[in-house]
This record gives sequence, C-alpha cells and structure tokens, in this order.
Amino acid sequence: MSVSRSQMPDLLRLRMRVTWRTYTATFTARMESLLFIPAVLLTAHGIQMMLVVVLNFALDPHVHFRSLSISLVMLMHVSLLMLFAGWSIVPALGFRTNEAIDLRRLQLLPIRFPALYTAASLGFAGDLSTVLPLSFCVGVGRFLFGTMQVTAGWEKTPENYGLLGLILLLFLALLLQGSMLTVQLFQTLLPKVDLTRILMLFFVGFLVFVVALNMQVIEYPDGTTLFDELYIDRYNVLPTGPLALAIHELALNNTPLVWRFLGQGALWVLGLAALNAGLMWMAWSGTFLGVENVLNLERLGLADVSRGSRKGAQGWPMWVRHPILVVAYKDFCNLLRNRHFFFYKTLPGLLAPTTILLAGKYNLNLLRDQYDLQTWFIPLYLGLALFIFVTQANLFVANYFGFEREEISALLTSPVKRHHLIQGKSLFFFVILIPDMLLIASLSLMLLPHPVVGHWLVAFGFLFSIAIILLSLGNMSSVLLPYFTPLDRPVITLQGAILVGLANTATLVLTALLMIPATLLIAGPWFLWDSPGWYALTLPVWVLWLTAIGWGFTAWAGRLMPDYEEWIQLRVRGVL
Amino acid sequence: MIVTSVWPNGGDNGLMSAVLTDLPHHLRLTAPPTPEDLLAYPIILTSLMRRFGDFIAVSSIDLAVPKGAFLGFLGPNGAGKSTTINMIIGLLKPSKGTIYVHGQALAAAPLACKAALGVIPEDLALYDRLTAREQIDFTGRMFGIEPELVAQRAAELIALLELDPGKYVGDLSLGMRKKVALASALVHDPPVLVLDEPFNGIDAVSSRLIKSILRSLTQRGTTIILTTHVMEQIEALCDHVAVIDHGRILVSDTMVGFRGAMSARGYDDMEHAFVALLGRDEPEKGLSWIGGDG
Repeated sequence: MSVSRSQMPDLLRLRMRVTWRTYTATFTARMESLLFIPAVLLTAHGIQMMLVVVLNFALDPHVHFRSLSISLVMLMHVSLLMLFAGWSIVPALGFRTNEAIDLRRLQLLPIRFPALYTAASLGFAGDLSTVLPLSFCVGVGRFLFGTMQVTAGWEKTPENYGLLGLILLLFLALLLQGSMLTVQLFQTLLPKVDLTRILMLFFVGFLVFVVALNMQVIEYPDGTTLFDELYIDRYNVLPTGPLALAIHELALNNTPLVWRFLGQGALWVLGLAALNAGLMWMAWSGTFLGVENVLNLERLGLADVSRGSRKGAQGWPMWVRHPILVVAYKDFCNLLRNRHFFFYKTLPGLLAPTTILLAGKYNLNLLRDQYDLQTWFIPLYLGLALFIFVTQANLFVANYFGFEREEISALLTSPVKRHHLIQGKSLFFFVILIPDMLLIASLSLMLLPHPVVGHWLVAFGFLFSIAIILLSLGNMSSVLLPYFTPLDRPVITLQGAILVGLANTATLVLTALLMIPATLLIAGPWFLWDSPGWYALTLPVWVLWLTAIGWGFTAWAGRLMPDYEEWIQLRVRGVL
Repeated sequence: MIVTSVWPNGGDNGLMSAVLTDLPHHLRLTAPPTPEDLLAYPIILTSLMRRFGDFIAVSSIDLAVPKGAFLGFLGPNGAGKSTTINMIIGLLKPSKGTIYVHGQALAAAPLACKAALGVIPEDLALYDRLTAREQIDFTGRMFGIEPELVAQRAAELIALLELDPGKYVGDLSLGMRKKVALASALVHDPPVLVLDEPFNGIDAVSSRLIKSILRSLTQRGTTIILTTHVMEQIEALCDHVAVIDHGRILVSDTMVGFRGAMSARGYDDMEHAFVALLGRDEPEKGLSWIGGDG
C-alpha cells in the first residue's frame, strides 16, 4: 500500500477531538472538567511558590557573587535556572507528550517519523493533564522576571512582559523538544541497561559519602574556609549551588576549586537524579517506555522465582487465618515482591520527602545569618515541607490502595466483610508508612539544629504527624470507594466527585483546625512574641494548599477506579 | 417450581432482534420462589434489570438454573452477559429484581451467597506476585476454610492440574493462569461455579482434564454457569442453555429441547442455530476490493 499525503493534520484533529469529547461528552464530564480546573490552578500555584522560593534562596546573587559584575551574575543565574528547571521538567514532560498522543498506537501506522514527532509535540496541548507540569514554566517566568528586576533594574513595562513571554515560549519549545528527544534516546540507546539498579546503587554510595562528609569522617580540603566565607554551613543540597560556585571560581581563576565544585555539583545532580528516577519513570509506567518494558524489569523480577519459589511453594503460615491478616499478608507478598511497585511507588514515596526536607535545611542554613527573614521564611518553609511531604505521602497512599485493579474482584467476590478488607489493606499500609513518618520526623529534628528551627521542628513533627494521618485517611476515602461501590459505580459521577471531594476537604479542614491549637500551644509563644501577623497570614495559605491537594487527589484518585477506562470508553462512545 | 412455555415474540421494547418464535421450553419462575424452589434451583433471577444512566444493559431477566445443571450462557458481544454475571457474583447491584444464590437472596445475605460461589472471572483476578500455591491459600482462607484443610486441598489441586506450586502467577502462561484460577474457584468446594470463558488459551490436554473435572462436579450436584463464544464447548459440556441478546433472555432450555426445536426449524448445528436465533442469519457478505459481492 502507499501513503501519499501528510497525515499530520488528521492526527492533530483526531487527538483534539478525542480530548474534547473526553471532557465534554456529557454533563457529568463537563462538570468534572470544571472541577478539575481550580484543582490544577491551585496546585500549580503551590508548585510556582515552591520553585520561586527554592531557587531564589539557593542562589542569591547578592550573597555569593559580590566580586562579579551584575550582568554576569544574571546570565549565570538565568542559565543555571534553565538548567535546573529543564532537569526537573524534561522527564515528566517527555512522558506527557508521548502519552497524550498515544505513540503506541500511532507507531503501528505507516507514518513518517517527523510527522509523528511533530504531531506528538503539538497534539499534547489539548490534554488537561499536561497543564500541571507546565506550571513549572509559570514559576520560572515569575522567578525570571523577579531576577531581572533585582539584577538589571527591569521595569514592569508591556515590552518587557512581551519579551519575557517570548523567552518563556522559547524555553517551553526547547523543553518540549528536549523531552521528546530524551524519551526517544532512552528507548533507543538504553533498551537493555538496568539503569535503575545502577542509579540506586550509586545513590546509596553517594549517601554514605555525604554522611561521611557531614560527620567529618572525610575531610574536604579548604572547603570549610570557603564555605564560611560564603556563609554556607555545609554542602548545598541543590545542584545549582555547587555549579554556581564552580563558575564563580572559574571567573576568579581558582581552577582546582572549579573542579571540586563541579565534581560536587555532579554528585548532587546524580544523587538527586537517582532518587528521582523512580518518580520520573513512574510517569512512564504502563507505556512502552515504562521501566518494566525498557529495562525488562518485569522479566528480571520473575527471574527471582527460583529464590522465591521454594518458600512460596510451601504456602502460607498457618497463623494467617483471620481475613484481616490474610489480606495484609497477601499485600505483603504481592507488593514487596514487586520491583515495579517498589521502584515506582514505594521508594520515591519514602525517600523523596526526606530529600526535600534536607534541601530545605541547607537553604535555611544558607540564609539564617544573612537576612532578617526568619519570621516569614520559616513558616513558609514549614508550609512547603508539609506540602511536599503530604503530596508524596498521599501519592503513596493512593497508589497503594489503587493497586487493586482487576484483582479487586478477587476480594469483593469473597465472603469477607468489607471492613475486614479495608482493615487488612490498612494494616499493611501503616506497617510501611508509620516507620517512614517516624524516620523523617527524626531526620528533621536531627538535621535542623538551628535553635529556632529546632524549636519549630518539635511543632512540625507533631503537626505533620497529625496531618499525615488525617490526610491519609481522607485520601484513602477517595481510593477506597471501589471497595464500597464496586462495579456498581462505574463512573466518577458529579455527585460522587462532590461527595468524595467534600469528604476530603472536610478532612483537610479538620487537619488545619487541629493545626491551629497545636501550633499555638507548642510554638505560638515564639510567634506571638516576635511576629504574630505573619503567622496569621500563613494559615489560610496552608488551608488553601491543602484543600487544593484534596481536590486534586480526589480527581486523580478517581482515575484509579478499576473500571475507569471502560467507563471512559463508554462515555466517549456516547453510551453514558 | 412452575415451568411455563412463554416464547420470545420479538420483544416489546424494540430491542430484541430474534426472528425465531415459538421455541419450546423457555424456563422461568412465574411466581415468587417457594422454599422448595430455593432448594432445587441454586441460581434464580427474577425480573433482573440493570441500567447505566439511560442505557439498559439488562432488561427484566428471569432465569432458574436447576441444581446440578451445566448451563451454557450465550450471547453476542455487548448482549449483557458480563453485566448479568457481575450481578450474580455480587460485583454489580441490580437496578431492579432479585437474585437468589444457593437458597438466599443476594441482597439480604451477600456473604452467605458469595461463600456458595466459585468464580473464574474473565480477567481472572489473580495476584501476579503470589505463587500458585499462595494464590490458592489466599482464596481458601478468604473463604473461611481452615488453613490445614486448604493445604490439603491445594496439594491435590496442584497435583491434579499439574501446576508448579512455586512459580509466581505472573510468570505463568495464560493457560496455566486459568488453571490456577480454576483451582482457586474449587478450593472451597462451592455448590455453584460461575466460569467466564474458562477455556480461552487452554491447550487441548488441559482442556480435556478441566472438562472432565467439571463433568464430575455436576454429577455430584454442583451447578455450573459457563459463558463462552465457542459453540462446540457448549455442545460438548452443557445440558442447559440460555441465550441473551440486547439484555433479554431469548431462550432458556435444556440442551436437548433447544436442539430439537432448532432442528425442527432446519438449524442442525449450534452455531447456525445461534446466529439464526439472534436474527443475523444473513447471506454471506464480502468486501468489494477482495472480490466479494459488495
């Protein structure tokens, strides 16, 4: 057969039409779409804030680079920002572009690669779920403009806004193409490499190295003096810090220090990349680019049969009798043997929050003696830390409870009371989550020695312990719905979405309300004494963010319903 | 139990496509089931209906499956088979009507009804990272069987079905997975089995073994509902048959009665009879570019 004309317009039309119908096919669908928009916007706002705060304080030109010209500082600043943002966003965006255009199906068609590539690049724009990663760009824009104002004296003129818009557009285009290329390169160049294992081993080694550095088991020549000069207590966790210092030393012709900082920056980049590998690849899960496909992880996992089988062949211990224990033991066996779940869900869910807390710690130390910012920065930091931790933990919760997909019928056709099913699932979950929570709380307390911060951390540990339990319960209510309304509710109905959303929001508001007296009780005197106004202002922000998370996860968790895909198909076909 | 002979007449809602009328022995209860009916018919559906929004997937089904029957439940894609099965096994709540399983109403005593059912769902619903032995252990214990007894039955099932007890379920072929699902469905010795396409992907040797097991089960009184698209399997195994289309039972009868009725109308083989019953017994069509009539 022959194909004589370009299929790209058809591809774009197809993609847009399917997307449009998904969001507008029925009244329910339209209402869900409307509900999703504020969730996306509010969550995007949180991401922007996070980006702006983290980047601003990681790399402040007035502190670090007094010897350089302001234009050079700005150039370096912006370049590093782009590097950091690109590093953060490219994997997620790459997945989104590939998923949105459904390359698996399109690659079966006799379409030339450029047409496929371009259609994939452009066609994703109609997919609402791609908006979320792009909110990073908005954060970048805000930060860029702020930087220009500070360093180059830019004014808020229409021309400058236009120029900024163009820069961002160019940046977005570059990210998009970079993302596509990354995905293609992964597929082409690394089809057999067990990169996950390599990176995870590297990360463990690197973690040991960093601990040794901080415990002064390993001496870092000349580092202490330099760091003292730069008001850096220890080693900056963000990759931009060491890289910026390397450039700074390059400008001063201190070649040996350039290499040291470059090496340190590279280590941080690789360490964090390793840590985030699970998160990045989680996004590709289920596609032909998923780790299980690209790296043959599933096959590797199954090769463990010889080890697991001898014990597994003998069956379960006799004490596993009660249905709660049977369900929990089933999850214990089924999930802990699952490398896919471990790498994609468990490990990122357990470790990523710790990394963020560490990053916050180093940034806080960086700033603590330089600015009179503690009064508002500390609560903001705590808010951010809470935001990130809760987000990660809830992803973990939702992933775990959503793990039952078609298998859920095995549970629901058994003559076991529903509350026993849920108690069994919860038992295993809390066995994993509670030690993680304690670990992170302990790390936070140990690694944030500043007196005020230490004082605050007592409150923080207490607060997020409350928060995580309540929020987890709230989000569990979202993903537990299938256990109460199995195939009977093949839809996230408007009514259902509102009910779940309200239940979630109520839990979140309850969390916020509990936080007020607890905070006042433990840390309130410090605030009342110092700057009560800022504290009062931060509370609504917390509530707003948490509510946004609640709505966002409500919508997201709905996608884990066992028959969601079937329902989508029915809805697109106009049956429902 | 009152057996009536009410034949499909083309339907009253414009949905039915059957063109054959006056078929003998359309089985259903005409009055609420008596205690004797509940004993004699482990599965009874009365006025069963299920709607999704405005779409009616199952419309007023009446069906009574006798004890020890091997019922072939047939229908084209989208006819309502899965919806009906999902309602029987308790995954889907009927919009209207009542389901009795093993003498009890499903809505009133869901756990007791589920305990009486052994199910092989279409997607099998197995846990990939459990071994075959563990999967049987899991099901048996979830059904409240003592672990010691589960262990004893698991050993027998594994030996009979020639399963590798130590292999993860996810590492097994489709046919072996089906056998694990069958073992899980049998371990609690249920009086009613619901099997959704159990022979897909099963090799001839295993298929023969499974058929033999199922036949022996019906001989000792187990009631089996089997859905499949393969007419030969229905002919070889089933002694009862029910055909559903557009959410309505077109005919339910003993296999002997069904064959006799269809034979009298000139349809000697099962596939031909089935297609005719659905009203799709049209002349063969072709594609214009490969030399067909179209």
